[in-house]
Amino acid sequence: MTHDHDHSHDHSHGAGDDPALDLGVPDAELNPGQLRRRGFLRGAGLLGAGIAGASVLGGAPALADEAVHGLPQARRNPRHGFAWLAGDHHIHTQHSSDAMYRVADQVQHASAYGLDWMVITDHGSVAHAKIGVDKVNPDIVAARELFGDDTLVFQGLEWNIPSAEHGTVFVHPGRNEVAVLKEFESSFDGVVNATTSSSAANEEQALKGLDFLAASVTKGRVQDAMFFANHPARKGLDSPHEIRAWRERQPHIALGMEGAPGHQAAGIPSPLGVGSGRGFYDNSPTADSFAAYPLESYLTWGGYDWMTSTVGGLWDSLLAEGRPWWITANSDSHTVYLDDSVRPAGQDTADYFNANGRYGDPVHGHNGGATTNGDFWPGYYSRTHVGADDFSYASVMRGLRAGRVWVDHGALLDGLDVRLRQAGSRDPGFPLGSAVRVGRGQRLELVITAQKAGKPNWAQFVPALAKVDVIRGAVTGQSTDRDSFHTPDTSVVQTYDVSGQGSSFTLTYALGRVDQPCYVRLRGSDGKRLAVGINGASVDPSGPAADVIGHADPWDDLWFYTNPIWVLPA
Amino acid sequence: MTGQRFCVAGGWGSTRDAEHGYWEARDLIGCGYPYVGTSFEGAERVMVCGADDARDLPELARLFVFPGHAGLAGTLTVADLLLLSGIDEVRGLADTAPSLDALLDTQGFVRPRSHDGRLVLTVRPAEHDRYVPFEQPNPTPCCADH
Repeated sequence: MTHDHDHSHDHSHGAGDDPALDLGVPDAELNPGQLRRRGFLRGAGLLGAGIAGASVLGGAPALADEAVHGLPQARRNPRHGFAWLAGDHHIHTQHSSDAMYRVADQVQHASAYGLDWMVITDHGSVAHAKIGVDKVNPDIVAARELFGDDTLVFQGLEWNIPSAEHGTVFVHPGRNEVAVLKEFESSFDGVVNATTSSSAANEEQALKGLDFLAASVTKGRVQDAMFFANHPARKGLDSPHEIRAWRERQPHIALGMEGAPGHQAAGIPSPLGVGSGRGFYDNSPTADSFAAYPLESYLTWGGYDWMTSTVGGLWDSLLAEGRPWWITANSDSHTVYLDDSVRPAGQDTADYFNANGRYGDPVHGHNGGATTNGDFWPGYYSRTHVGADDFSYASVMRGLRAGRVWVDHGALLDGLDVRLRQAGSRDPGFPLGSAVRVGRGQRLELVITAQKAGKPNWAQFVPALAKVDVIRGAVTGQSTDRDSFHTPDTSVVQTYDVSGQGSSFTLTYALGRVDQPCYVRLRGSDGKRLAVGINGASVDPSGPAADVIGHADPWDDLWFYTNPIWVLPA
Repeated sequence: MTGQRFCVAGGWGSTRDAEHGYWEARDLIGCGYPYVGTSFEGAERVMVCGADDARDLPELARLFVFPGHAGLAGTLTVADLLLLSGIDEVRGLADTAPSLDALLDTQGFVRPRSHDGRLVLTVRPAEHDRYVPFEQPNPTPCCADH
């Protein structure tokens, strides 16, 4: 499967002949449209100081509230706080060969279960690139009409990343959303172009795909676009150097990974459930796998992917290098545990799917709830909470890019606000995802305000947060080993027992006088399944346990994780 | 090198395919070796390798023929597994060590790997405080219709 499409035009990174991108052209010489676009790109960190943002280190201005090299502008919390919008960027429909629901089914469930935003991500495939990516759009547009006041519905796709795993790619709605996604999929999807196997040439194809997305934004074809790696450790396919390369190549497009994969019902014991690994994480190394990954990387730990759940592991190795790389948590909803609908007879075959780009609409089945399904509806179990300026597509994307994100399972928390500020000050502080420049030796504190779950979750019980861990790591600068997945200077530095706390509580962690660059992130749990971490008790005395294959009740093991805040002394 | 060995590539797409390929053509490939397993050579290249001596196996070869393999079925203690087979060590995840009296449900599918000439079986936690081998007999294929 080759494609002879000429994408030489995708490779421009510079301003070209677009005056909006040429910072040598003053604002006054731009027409209103160009000026508006320049303003947007600047605000999104796509133009100017942030443009080389592969790292939070180096070249940063001295003031804490100015743009930090590599990140969107670090900004103080707004006076009335952010709007925290819950969402899910990984959802399949009848336009995926292994899924079945209408867009409307997924959106109405997501909306009912409280999601504010969601991304439809059907698998990249020949049938999807030719037919499905077009056919799904009117359904998405209709869902925006019906549910748009409650739930924002993005169109995206699940990219078969050349040489790697799957990933979410999505764009801001607009007249070119289908055209850009279709051209992207046709040109850069690993299955469509037979580039999934691990090789240097295919790794370059992945980077060219990211270039294409970046160019689609800078050329104004779409207002915004982004990429997150999905279930990154499931089969050992996303090597550490690939993750580093994605971020470096297009830091405004390649934003992060699933901290927790979907398919969270897959570990429910048979015959009541699938009896597989939680997240369907039950695979073994293949020839395409990164050989140095240990076998424990193929499991989930407390429902989270090993890259994220290991204190001092792969994610921390990126954060310790000063690389912004954010985590999310999603449903990967294909077929829902105990749902009793089925594909319609006659419109349920591979031939039908390939000819029509989708299966027929689901119908009521007569075999009872399917215990062989391993997923939950969007919003039912996994949530990605984004700190947004307002309820809009652009603000959700800006919040995701800024890393103002925390995630939870089973509605463990009603709310979470984390701010870094000078100790004892009344400063509103800096939110999650910030890289904060401070004076050397300044005393700092992390203020954590949490609302425990105040009402039952979708399994009809009120989850009880039992503990909160502060994880702190030294920023050590770029590693010479691009395949590193370990950092020695990150550990759990404080654990709060919050089982006796009321419905809302505030914790203050004193960072002390900070002379060296560091970062902090949070994690918390219902305390039901705890184990010594992979890197030992001195690093993580009471972390998530390895999920038991065929015996992982997802409701009895709930965790939340936040993205980090960096502190960079001048 | 202390004895005879072989390594062949048969265009197999996975370790399972390679196992089937070996059993279908073992007269041609190399019958009678006490250690036979799969090994990766570069991306997407699955080899079948055999040796008279475990020390001659490629590092991290995944063995489906080894002394005693045919007798490993049902649930055994770790001690019995070590006694009944050529497996030298049973290892838990993240370098933990299950006790000798821990129970291991073999699932009828035991694939130790070679580490410095020793056969190491990594196990993972399973239901009822038991262990199962790390590699599952029926893993979820990519984009399966689940």
